Amino acid sequence: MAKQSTPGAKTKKKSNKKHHKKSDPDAISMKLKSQKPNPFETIWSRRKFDILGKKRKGEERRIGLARSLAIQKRKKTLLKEYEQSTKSSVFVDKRIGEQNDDMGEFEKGILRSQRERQLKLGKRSKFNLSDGEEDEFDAPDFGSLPERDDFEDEMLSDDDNYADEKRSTVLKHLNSHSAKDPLEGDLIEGEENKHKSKKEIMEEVILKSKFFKAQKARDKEENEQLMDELDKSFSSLVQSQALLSLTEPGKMNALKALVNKSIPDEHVKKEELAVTQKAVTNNQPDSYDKLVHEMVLDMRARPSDRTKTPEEIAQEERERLERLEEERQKRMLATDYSSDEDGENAEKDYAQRPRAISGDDLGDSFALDDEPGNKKGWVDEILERKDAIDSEDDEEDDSEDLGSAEDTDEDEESEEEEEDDENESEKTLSLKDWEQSDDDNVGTDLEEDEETDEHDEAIGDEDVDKKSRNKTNKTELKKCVESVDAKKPKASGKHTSTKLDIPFIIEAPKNLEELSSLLENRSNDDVIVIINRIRASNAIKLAAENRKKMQVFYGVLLQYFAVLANKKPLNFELSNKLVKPIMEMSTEIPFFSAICARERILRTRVQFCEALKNHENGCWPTLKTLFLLRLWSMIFPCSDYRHVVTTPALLLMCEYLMRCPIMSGRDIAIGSFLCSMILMFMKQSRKFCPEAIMFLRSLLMAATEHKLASEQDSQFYHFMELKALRPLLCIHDGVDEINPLNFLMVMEMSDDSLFFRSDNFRASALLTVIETLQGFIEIYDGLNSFPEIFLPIATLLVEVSEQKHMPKALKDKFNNVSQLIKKKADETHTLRRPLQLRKQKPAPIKLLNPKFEENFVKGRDYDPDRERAERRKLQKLIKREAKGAARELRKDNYFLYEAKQRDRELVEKERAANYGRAIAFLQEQEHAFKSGQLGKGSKKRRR
Amino acid sequence: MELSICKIHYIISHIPPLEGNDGKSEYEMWSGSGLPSNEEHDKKKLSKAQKAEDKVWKAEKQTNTVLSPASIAKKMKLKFTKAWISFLRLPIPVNVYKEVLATLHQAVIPHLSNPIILCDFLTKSYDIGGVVSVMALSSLFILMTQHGLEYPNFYEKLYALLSPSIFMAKHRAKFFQLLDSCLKSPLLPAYLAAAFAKKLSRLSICVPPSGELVIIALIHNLLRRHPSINCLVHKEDGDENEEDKNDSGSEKRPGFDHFNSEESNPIKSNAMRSSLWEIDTLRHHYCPPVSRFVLSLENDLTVRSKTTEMDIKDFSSGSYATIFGDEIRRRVKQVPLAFYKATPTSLFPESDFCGWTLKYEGSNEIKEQKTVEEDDASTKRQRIEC
Repeated sequence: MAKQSTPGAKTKKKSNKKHHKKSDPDAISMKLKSQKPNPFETIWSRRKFDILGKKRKGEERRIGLARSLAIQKRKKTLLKEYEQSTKSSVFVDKRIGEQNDDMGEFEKGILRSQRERQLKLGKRSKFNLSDGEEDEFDAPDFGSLPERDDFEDEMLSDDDNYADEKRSTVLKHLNSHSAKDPLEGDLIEGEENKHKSKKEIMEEVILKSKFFKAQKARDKEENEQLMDELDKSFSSLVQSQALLSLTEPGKMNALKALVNKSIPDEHVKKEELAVTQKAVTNNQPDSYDKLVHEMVLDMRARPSDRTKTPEEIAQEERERLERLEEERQKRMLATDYSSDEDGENAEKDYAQRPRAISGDDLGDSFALDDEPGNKKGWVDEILERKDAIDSEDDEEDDSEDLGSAEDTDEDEESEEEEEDDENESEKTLSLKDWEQSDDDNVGTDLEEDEETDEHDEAIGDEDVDKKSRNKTNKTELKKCVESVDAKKPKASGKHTSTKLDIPFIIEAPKNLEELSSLLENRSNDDVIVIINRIRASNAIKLAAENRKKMQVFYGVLLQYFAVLANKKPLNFELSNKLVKPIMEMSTEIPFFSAICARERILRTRVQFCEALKNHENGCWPTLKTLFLLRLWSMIFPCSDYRHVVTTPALLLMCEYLMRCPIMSGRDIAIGSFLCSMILMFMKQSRKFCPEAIMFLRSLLMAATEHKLASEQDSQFYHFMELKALRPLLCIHDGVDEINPLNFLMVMEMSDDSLFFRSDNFRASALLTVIETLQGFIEIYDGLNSFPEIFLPIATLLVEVSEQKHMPKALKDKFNNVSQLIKKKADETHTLRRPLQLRKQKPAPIKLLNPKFEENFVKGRDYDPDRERAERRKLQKLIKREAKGAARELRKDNYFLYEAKQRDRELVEKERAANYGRAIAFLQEQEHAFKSGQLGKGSKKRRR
Repeated sequence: MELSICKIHYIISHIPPLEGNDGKSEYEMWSGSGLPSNEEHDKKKLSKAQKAEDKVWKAEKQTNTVLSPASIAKKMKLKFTKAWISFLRLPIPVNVYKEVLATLHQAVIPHLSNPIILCDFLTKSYDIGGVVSVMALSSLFILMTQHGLEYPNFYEKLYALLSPSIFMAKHRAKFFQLLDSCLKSPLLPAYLAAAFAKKLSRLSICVPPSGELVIIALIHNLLRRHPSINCLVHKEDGDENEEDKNDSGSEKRPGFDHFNSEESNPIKSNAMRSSLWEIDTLRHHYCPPVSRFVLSLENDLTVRSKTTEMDIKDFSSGSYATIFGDEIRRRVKQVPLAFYKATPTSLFPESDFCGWTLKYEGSNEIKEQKTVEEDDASTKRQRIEC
């Protein structure tokens, strides 16, 4: 009964809705409920406990329903086909909606009537007079349609009075429908439910959002109110004494001001804090609080002197120098006006003076003492002038560098500074700009350098003048120098008697002229002192702009170093002493120094290529190049795999060895010296340099008398045919003594010097060759192809040593080295194995650790190989589908079998009935015959 | 005499490269033929006359092309060929000879009526050896590949050409490309490929870095084309032991190189029993591109699908300039500095130099310092002498 009633209620509601078009959530929920499965169609097991999170199987399966659905479906399809299978013609039902399972009888009816009406309303029927019935069909209310169904026409009216009645009729009507086809009815209802619920949901959402907005606004209001209250209470609090006792008076004022300004919002927190504090202080302060208050009132400990940063040390150094300089100036002024005694004092000062810059200017004061004090005052004069201004500036401003620079040579210096600034800014920009700007710098430097190379005979005042004249753009400088020159005699006249001093504060020179004028006629030690002072007074750590200055100065210094190497007479001691400051400066500005070096290497190579083309003068490197190469090999690490400076430098050196023709003994000397430099390069990294080996080998060949018949050697003559190798090193006469070759001396001799033809030279050259070779042998003994490299040389060595006039010592040396080679080659032969370049990496042992999956979910595929997992999933699906299909087929067969069985039974029954009838007839006949009523039968037959 | 030959060459090589198919003549030269000078003179005159004719012909041709261009072109070709051949018969001075060889394959062979005529000239020049052979190779290669010339001992000659000097020669780029294409065929016997590879690697210990790059590329290609010679770079211990027992049981020096670099015949060079230790040495080469490039040989080149041949063109034109340029163009990212416990104070510090040779160091350093001291004394005097 209950079951009967529920669908009734449902339909009632539905019709309700149809009438009033009213959205009623209850109704929706009811309808949703209606989708609940029929409990009679589900199977279920009684559960004793509800287990949380456990999925129960088969709860919602509706086996009966599914089975009946399947059977019905088969009835519609399979059975039909089966019935049709023996027929040759088919009956096609073209009635509207007959094929459509979704439609209920009712809707079908509507559609059909619509169709009928449309046909009637067609053109033909336009002018037909309509019946009353049809007019009523036009009534707009579709909801009333069912009411006009076949019967009950007379009861039609839209009055509400009749609503109940109508409803009941509709109910009945629908009930009949649902009774007929409950499934279809359900479906329709479901559709309608969905439709309505969407609208409903939207409305609900809107409602909710409105509600939330309102709530927010209310909250905000409440907050504001609360804040206002707080403000009020706080302002009252400020007036009270409690807070005053808590906070410092300064802060209190600030607070009050704040309150007065009435900008409380930002300080809500603070105030709140204060409030809480007040609460605390209202209580009796305990000992802890007291302690805290005391601690607050305590003086803070001041930090002790910390260790100085490098900047500060540099600053102090500079200050100290400044102080000293001031004193010196005072003394100097005094000597100007008075007598020599002050000078003596100055000397004493010097002696007492603590050592100026660093450890390496040890004893410079003694050197000064020895120094003859002539002709150098003018430099001091200039520098003094600068320094005087410097010191003035010092008083005014701390940035002396700028000030002094501006003051001394206004125009020129400012120009320079502009450049500097540009460079400064560029420096920050990017690496590339950096390089370019530096290139420019170096370029100019190099130009200057070249010029100086031209006049490297004597760098005197005239020279300076010349060079400055060469510079068209720097006329200002020229003037300056001229003025310097003009001053010179005066100054020197003045200071002949005074002691020569070195200023303590020296501006970094901006170009070579400045530096050379500064360093001119100084002793070596003085030069170093000057350079160190320049470095100290312009230390990079002192000021940012000093970096630029030091960079310029570095370039200038490098240039000076290069010029020095080309100067004659060579001041080798000074070159040596310059090494240290240059290296130290390079550590300060590594980037710049690298770029300087690269530019110079590039330039040297360009020059070298040009020289190669010309051929008339030797293209072997000059002493300057050699010195610079050596310097860079000291500044930069040679053992790096690839280094921005040393790699190009090495390439350049090797190219020298490979491409320069050997024309004279001088070339041999330079070449072998290059070889030894390369040896120094390679010593640490033990890198292989074929060029050096080949060069040494060709030198050895040059030591043999005749062109050798040996196949390989003749190949080398091919190789060396570029070099026009002659037996330059062949010793013709006995040599009394073998001295090591003096390289610097060799460099200073010209090509055609007689010395190079002397056997002494040859012997010593051979000595250097063999020593260098030995060095190479030692560093290359680890190479795999050691025998291939050195064994030919060993035979060559033996050959050379067996020559007629070979001195005994050399002979021994040669034999020793060849023995060494043979020994090491033998070692290599026994030790080395054929190459195994293609080593397979050992396969790692498979790990058997159990792998744990966090948050493991049963049934999920954790296969890391996505493809495989996907494939497995698909295979599973296929299997399932196949099973399903087989099951379907089985059921189909079963269904068909049943249908056939039914048919057969039917036939059987019919036949049995027929048979029974026939038997009954026969029995009746028999009976009649036996009972003697034959006549009757015959009578009948007759009839 | 030489002058006239030069002139002839000038003229003959400046015949315009021809409208359409007008070929340049070929020149065959039998330099060793030693014709009497009179004849030569005659021939010179002759050839000059021919050239004059040629020009006339050309002029005529230009006017009469409309009439029968094909036949004229044919005739022109014949004349041209004749002219070149008669020119090549002359005893050409070396510089002209080289020039001829350099231009032959581009300017002349395409225009010849029958390029095979040149083969005598070319084979003879090829046999001369050295640079001349290298230069003749390009023309010869064209004849062999395009005109079916058979040259029996070609590879032996090619093998003999490999010498250190070619790595400095002017036309090395072309030569290396040709060498690579000559060795392209995978049908070459393994011993030949191995001999070439080993010879090249032997050369690698005495050539400039650009040459090393080419050598590595060539060996790479060889190894890839001939999987059978991969034993040169990878030999398992087992094989090696067997071989040890077989060949050098008495020597007991597994590292001994059986390769005979002086043998001119690749079969007898024993390269297959060797190993490319030189290539291993190149790993320690000072030039970073070289030492990095060597690593490419460590790939398993027997697996052809995973590797590609190297284009020799990319390396063949290398020189110090290119390598140096590459290095100097590198961006300066960081500049590490040498580290010293105490900054050295002199340019050639004794402590540094004494490590290797005391004496030589003395020769440079001690004396250098001496010079400074004695500067005014001895050295100056010498300078004055000079």
